[in-house]
Amino acid sequence: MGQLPPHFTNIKTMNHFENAIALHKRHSRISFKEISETDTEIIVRVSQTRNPNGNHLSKERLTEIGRELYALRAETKNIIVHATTYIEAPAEIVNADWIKQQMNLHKIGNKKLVADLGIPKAEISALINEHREMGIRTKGLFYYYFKSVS
Amino acid sequence: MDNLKTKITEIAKANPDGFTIYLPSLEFVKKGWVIANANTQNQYSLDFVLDFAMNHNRIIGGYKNENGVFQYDASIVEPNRNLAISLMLLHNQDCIYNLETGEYLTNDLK
Repeated sequence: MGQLPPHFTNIKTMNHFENAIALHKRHSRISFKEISETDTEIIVRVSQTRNPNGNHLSKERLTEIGRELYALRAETKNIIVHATTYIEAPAEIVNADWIKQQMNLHKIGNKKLVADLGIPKAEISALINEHREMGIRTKGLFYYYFKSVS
Repeated sequence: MDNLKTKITEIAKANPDGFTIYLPSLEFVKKGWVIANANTQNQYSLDFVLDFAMNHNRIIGGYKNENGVFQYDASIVEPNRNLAISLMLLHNQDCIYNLETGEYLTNDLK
């Protein structure tokens, strides 16, 4: 059996700590980074990135989550949490319906999109008909394109 | 079913950190406590888990593990905290997670 890391008093607490980190990542895209640690204090950064289920937590809640988690491994220390909330990029609004709306609004057809953006027609059709997922870069391309023609 | 499998594979690739979706709509689950179903624990076969999920709670989840391999599970999503705890015990899970609040509960019996 391996040696227990020094921060933990028992294997059960260590497992809880590791499981919680994995679940926060899997279900909420929350990550933890230890910035510094002394005998009396630990500073932790808690950050949330874009969560595909749309749930984004407040700074207060992220701070609470960081304190709860690190109490498992540094219960006698002062736990200081620097929380970074997710800020949605304006281009996140872009989806197939949004593109169709903008095309109607600005009277722009597939042909013009192909010519202006240099994207093959088949690819544009796949995006508009939701046969292909749009990444943030593609969303950004459409967002700023339609902003420029507004 | 093949079409569904292809779409789930695409969602998994786009969300390697993890996803939990309804079947067959493929919409992300936004609320409730997530409990992994013991019958599909540590499964690598999407076919098996998809078939199981379609015949049970119609919710599937997955993530890419530390070895770079996708693992899938049929999930149960329960809005009631006490029922969720009962399901965690019934399915012998270590923990459950609330999708909306980020709350995390452990199975103290384990």
